[in-house]
Amino acid sequence: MHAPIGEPLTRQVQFFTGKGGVGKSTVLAALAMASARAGKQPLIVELGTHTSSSRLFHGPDAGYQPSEVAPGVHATRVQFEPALIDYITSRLKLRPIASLVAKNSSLRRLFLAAPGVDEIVTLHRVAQLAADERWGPILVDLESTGHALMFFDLPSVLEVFLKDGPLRQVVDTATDLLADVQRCAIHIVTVPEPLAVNETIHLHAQMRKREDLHLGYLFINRVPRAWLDDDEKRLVDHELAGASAGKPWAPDLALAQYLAKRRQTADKCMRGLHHDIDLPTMTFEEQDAGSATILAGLSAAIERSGFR
Amino acid sequence: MIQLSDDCRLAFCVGVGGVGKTTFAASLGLGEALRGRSVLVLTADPARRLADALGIRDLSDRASDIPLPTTIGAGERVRGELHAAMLETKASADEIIRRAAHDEARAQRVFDNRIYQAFSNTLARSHAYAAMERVHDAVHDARYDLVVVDTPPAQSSIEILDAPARLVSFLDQRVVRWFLQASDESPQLRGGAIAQGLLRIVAGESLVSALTEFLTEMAFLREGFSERAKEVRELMRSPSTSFVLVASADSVGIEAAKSVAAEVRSRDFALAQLVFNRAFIPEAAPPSDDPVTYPERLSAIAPKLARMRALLTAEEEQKRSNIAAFCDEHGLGAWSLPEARRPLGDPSALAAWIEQARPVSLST
Repeated sequence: MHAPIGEPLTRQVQFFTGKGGVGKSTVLAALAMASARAGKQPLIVELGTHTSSSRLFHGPDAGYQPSEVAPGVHATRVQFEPALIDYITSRLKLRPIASLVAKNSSLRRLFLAAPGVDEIVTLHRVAQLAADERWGPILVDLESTGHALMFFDLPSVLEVFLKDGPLRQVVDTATDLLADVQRCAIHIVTVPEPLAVNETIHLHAQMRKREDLHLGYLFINRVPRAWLDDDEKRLVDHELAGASAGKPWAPDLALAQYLAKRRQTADKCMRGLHHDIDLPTMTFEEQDAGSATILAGLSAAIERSGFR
Repeated sequence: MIQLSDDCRLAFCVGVGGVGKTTFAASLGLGEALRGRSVLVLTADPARRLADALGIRDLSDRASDIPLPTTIGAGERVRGELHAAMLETKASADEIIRRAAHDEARAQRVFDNRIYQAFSNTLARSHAYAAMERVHDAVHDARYDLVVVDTPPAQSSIEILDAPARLVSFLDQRVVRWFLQASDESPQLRGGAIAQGLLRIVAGESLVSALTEFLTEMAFLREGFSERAKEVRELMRSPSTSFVLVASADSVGIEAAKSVAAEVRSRDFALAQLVFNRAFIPEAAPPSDDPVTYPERLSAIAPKLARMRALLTAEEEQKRSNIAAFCDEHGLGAWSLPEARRPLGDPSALAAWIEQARPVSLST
């Protein structure tokens, strides 16, 4: 009953998390491209001020209203102000009054200062987009691991004093969405480097404790190329230690040795990941520089794996 | 050698995630300690990276002493000191309350407050406020000549940079007053009462009541808190404060660096240094046009060697031109650092790594 590519990637809402700099946005964008080519309506949701989609697709920054950033791929950025107005509108029903509330100078200062307001309006916006049947899959780019944990913890943080009232509804909607194994998956992206692996294993352990969260895939990005086989590696080591030392070609051998070690470290890291994390895994080989090439390479790899 | 100016008392390392910011912050602090200063490296990132880089088991909210070599270079005695701490939001917040409350019962009432309990332990903004307080304390602590702050990845680091201004604005007496006295019928407070009524609709009765209770309980703290937020805001723009942007030099990294630089500049903070990590591999030969001729016995792997060299040379060349363009755009020189051979796990490895830094000067 399992399709070649796992079912989690077909759910409507997909969160992506992982240590900064592992290429999370790139993996997410590649998946969006593959989804679009498969005839779906992917929507990339970015949080905060940085929009990676614009960098990856060489387009303008995504705005609050979804716009097409690549053929069939839409992106939106959850900007604080409009998201806040959207949230208030959902309570007061009248947008003009909501705008007045959001712009009231005293309330404004409160909204900008109070902890949790960002997270609440973001959750509300994601739930709002998820309720819109035009989009699927919705791919949410969570910034860093710490940030992601805070984000998923919010409902329980608010739980303490929200017995009822409007925020209760936001929290319930978000909790229901996160807990719905049919609709939602959280993917972890990492690279096979020691620091990233430690952080990933830690993150995974934290998430595992939460039975209401449904983990999807582990993506291992930027796996270094295996340039040399074992015999060739031995030859390089032997030459560097002897006949080739100090010769004009020695730096090239040193580079080869260095790259071989890098691959060796990566293999060790991947063994560690497989040992500690029991998620279905997709690996992507390192691509030559240039975001267009990287994206094309990754989305081709996703399609090769049987993604539909 | 990468170093800060002698009168720099506070340095913020900023940049997106995964560029080696924490490792660099540790190295920068170490370098300054080795040249005789007493340095605190404060990480606001909850990941264990700083402890790992410095080779110590654990870091906590309380500063730990990092053992330094007793001599450097030609037997010169090391006079500096290196301390490191990891910001824990809850621990920092509790400490702030305890100190400001002066008596245990008053502090306990805050600790028992639902809003305090819910928010002191989590959430980006709480974290940012705690960081602000810690920076304030550390800068005024006579034990340190220099405080190096390792900020969390981009979005949250902006949160930290904006925290003082947002807090000052909210703690403004008028705003808090209408909150606490909105039931008062005086005309200047009526607007507040209306706003609070609307807030009850959008945020809920229970939350607004809890918030009001919290602000009342916290009354004794407000003044000092707001005062310190103002001081930190000024401190961040002081000539003795430097912002160091750490970035990677590949095309995607440069684009990310551009947006961080713009964020820093738009707040009128002084970008003092640029550091590009993983800009080169020290083992690789410097690029040259002369083709290398491999001996006969290497002929089987010669094509691979040539391909590796060509690829790496092209990559480094691309990075060099990215860095040069970035420097010219910002009118700043930069340092490029090599990819570290292995995870840097102690002060001597850090020192050896940062010593390989190559300066990049402006082309114009």
